[in-house]
Amino acid sequence: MIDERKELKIQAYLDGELTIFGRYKVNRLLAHNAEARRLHAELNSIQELLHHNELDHPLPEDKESFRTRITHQLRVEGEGTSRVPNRIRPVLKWVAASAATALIIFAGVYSLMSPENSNQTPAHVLLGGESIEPEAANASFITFKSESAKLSVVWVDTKSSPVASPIN
Amino acid sequence: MPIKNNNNEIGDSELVDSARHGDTVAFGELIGRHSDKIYNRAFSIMRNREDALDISQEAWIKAWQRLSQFNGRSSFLTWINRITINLCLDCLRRNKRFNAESMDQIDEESGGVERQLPIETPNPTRRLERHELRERIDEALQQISHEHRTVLILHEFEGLEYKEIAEAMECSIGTVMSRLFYARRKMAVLLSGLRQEGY
Amino acid sequence: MNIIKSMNALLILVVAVLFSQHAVSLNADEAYDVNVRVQLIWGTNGENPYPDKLKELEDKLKDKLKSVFKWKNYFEVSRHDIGLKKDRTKRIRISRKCELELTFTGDSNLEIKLFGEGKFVNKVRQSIAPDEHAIIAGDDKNDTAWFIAFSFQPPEKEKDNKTR
Repeated sequence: MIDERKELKIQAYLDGELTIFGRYKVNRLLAHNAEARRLHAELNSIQELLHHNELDHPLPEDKESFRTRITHQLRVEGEGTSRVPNRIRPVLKWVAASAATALIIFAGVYSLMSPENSNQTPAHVLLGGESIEPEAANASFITFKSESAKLSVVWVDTKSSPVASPIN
Repeated sequence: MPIKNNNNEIGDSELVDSARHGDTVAFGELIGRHSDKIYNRAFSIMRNREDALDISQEAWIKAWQRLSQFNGRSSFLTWINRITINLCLDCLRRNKRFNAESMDQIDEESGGVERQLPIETPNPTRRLERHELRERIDEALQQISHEHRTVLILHEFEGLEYKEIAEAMECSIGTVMSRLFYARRKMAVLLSGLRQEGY
Repeated sequence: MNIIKSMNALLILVVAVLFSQHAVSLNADEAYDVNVRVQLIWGTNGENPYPDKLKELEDKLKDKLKSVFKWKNYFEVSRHDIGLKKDRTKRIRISRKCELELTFTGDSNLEIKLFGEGKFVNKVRQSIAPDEHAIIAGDDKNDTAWFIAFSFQPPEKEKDNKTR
């Protein structure tokens, strides 16, 4: 049995990692040792088998949406490091917060007033709205919030929207 | 630099130049061209769809942030591939999937079971369809440890030298040689079935 | 004299070990800005049809859901602990048909995109307080329902940890 040091030398010979002198020594070993030759043949054949035979695992999502997501993030990061003077930032934050609060109150009142929504809800509590952005034209949903249970809920109407039940 | 309507006509280096000046459209074109390859490399090392997606996404963002460091000596794809590999290795270290003190690993690196294995030489006669062959190789890769698989991928698929692998994996060249040796021998055993099927 | 030297060396060693452990823990905490737990839950009035696959939901969340919804039983189908950095998006598959994109937009705000069978369904922006849950839910077959519960977790669970 050839020792571990020689085994690694044979591998390094195959990988082109030896000096000329090292190659000479392995050549001599291969010429005189049948087990060394068998090991060399095994390592060589596995190397050939692996070369150019890597399985492709393509991106498992739509390439366009992947690209859009990343470029969007890059733009967001770019904006984050730019241009609004520090003096104005607190004012902008206040304006944004006020607008968001107004929107939430409006959405909450609207959902409470909307009779068809209240008919659809499976819950027995319907307290308030949440910020939500429908992007799929045919997706419909209702939102409500239980302060006591500390739950904010978005209920997707699976009859009219394309969502498939995630259970399965 | 203005981008032509058909970005396919533009080389990577021109797109990189535009991206360096803040052109996210040009960078998006690079993503479109190479996202499959980058994901593939991340998946081949991580063996987990979600980790691979995270890492490939992170690699693109890091590449954008470091574009000024890209010196053009290698291709853009090679460069971002290296970023991806480093992120994978970082992630494996964080997950402690690389555990240098693991008894199993010490056993494997010093010979362990594989040293006792009979020598297997897959027959290279072509019988299986190439895709099926690749699937079989992929399944075998799935069965070896992260350390051994990563060394094998970096050497056989990425063409890295021992020294480069040792630097990337933060270990000695001797460790790389041992891991590579036992990874190959294990693969030979796992793929020995191909012999009966004409490979 | 030798004893004093040895004591000093020991003290330095202890301080060094403590410091290195502190440094490691700092590094671990820096990895993500927040940790989000995502739980896919099935609500039914019937019994658990797959006791080996569906786990009884933890009491706290089950009680919350029971107080709002009509179903009697709630089972956890899968759970994912996801580390997020600010303004970075992660996409996760929570079941064969359903994927989510999560973006932590700062403070306690989470942006969630829901995909069913690869198609975009909706985007929700939620502000989630530490002891709150945000829920996206819908009807399922035979008067059952699915729920996806989102909550922020304490910082020590910093790495993605797909428990099932």
